[in-house]
Amino acid sequence: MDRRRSLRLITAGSMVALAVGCTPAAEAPPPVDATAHEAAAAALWPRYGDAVLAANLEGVMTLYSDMATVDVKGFPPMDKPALMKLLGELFATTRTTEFTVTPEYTHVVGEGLVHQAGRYREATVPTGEAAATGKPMTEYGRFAGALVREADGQWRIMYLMAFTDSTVTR
Amino acid sequence: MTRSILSILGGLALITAACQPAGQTATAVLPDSSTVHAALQAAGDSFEAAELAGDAAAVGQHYTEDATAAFDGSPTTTGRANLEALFGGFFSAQKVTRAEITVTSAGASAPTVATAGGTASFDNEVNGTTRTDNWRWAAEYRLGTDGQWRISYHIGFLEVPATPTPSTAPHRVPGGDTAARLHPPP
Repeated sequence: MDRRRSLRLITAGSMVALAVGCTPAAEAPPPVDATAHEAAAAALWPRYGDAVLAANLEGVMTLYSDMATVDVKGFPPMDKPALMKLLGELFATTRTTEFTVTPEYTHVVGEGLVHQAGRYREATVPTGEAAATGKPMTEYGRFAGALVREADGQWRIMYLMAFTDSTVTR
Repeated sequence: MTRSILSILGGLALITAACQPAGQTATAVLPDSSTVHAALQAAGDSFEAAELAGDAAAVGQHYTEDATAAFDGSPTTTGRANLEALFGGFFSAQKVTRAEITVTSAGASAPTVATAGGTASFDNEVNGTTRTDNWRWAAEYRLGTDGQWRISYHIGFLEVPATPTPSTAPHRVPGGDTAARLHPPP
């Protein structure tokens, strides 16, 4: 199984959230707008998928916090630079033709912090030199992570764990 | 590798410790990180004991009633009763002879919500043969009215064995995903 594919998936995937928005503390906490938080979390994945489908490495990476850690089966834990290197290699050798993330668990933990988990699915075709010998693949798996709203108001992935359940060669 | 894992999981703690939800005062509202870490490790130790005893009901007590677990090799399972059944199925097929659960990083995200990540290693005896399973996991916990932290969401995957063929490392997984995965992680 090509772990690079699962990695990209993961990337797209989702997560449980552990993080927080890192906003200043206040004496009287205002109520959290759970609906808005859920909507923000839900909106992140389509952007992620669009960036993956366009092989837009910068677009994908901007959805990760600079402090992000990604924990994917088959790879050592990665920080953002390590993830960027790996995704760059993936985008150079495969093209993603389908990418979906389906959250199944969403917990608005607090202001600017959402934990989310669910499933992902990705279809890829080899490109470049790999096109001659590689085969189209469809892969699906599960993820959990933490989404945080950072100081600039943007929601990003702070932590992500993911593993592949299956890879199907078409 | 161990160091990498530590750094990642350390990142989780950092997230929970350094970034508190707006509107909260860390010292007044969020439990101290070291206190939370100790409490979650204690829960892990108790989980170990339940595994070694093959006691699915005792394992279930470490989860909230509505907990969800997504373990590599098992279907996503929701609800304490269903999780007990999952572990019960495992215990009926093999015996855990060694369990080591380590909370590498932990911290509070909210007054009653904590997160942790870590490793787990088990020796499982099946038909006279012992197999070692090593896991990486992350979890969300909630603090119950009884003062106990219980897992509300749990995800974990089996570590891939050390790569024997340098030409394929690190992007290929030796053995793929077919390694024995009968054992849900802690």
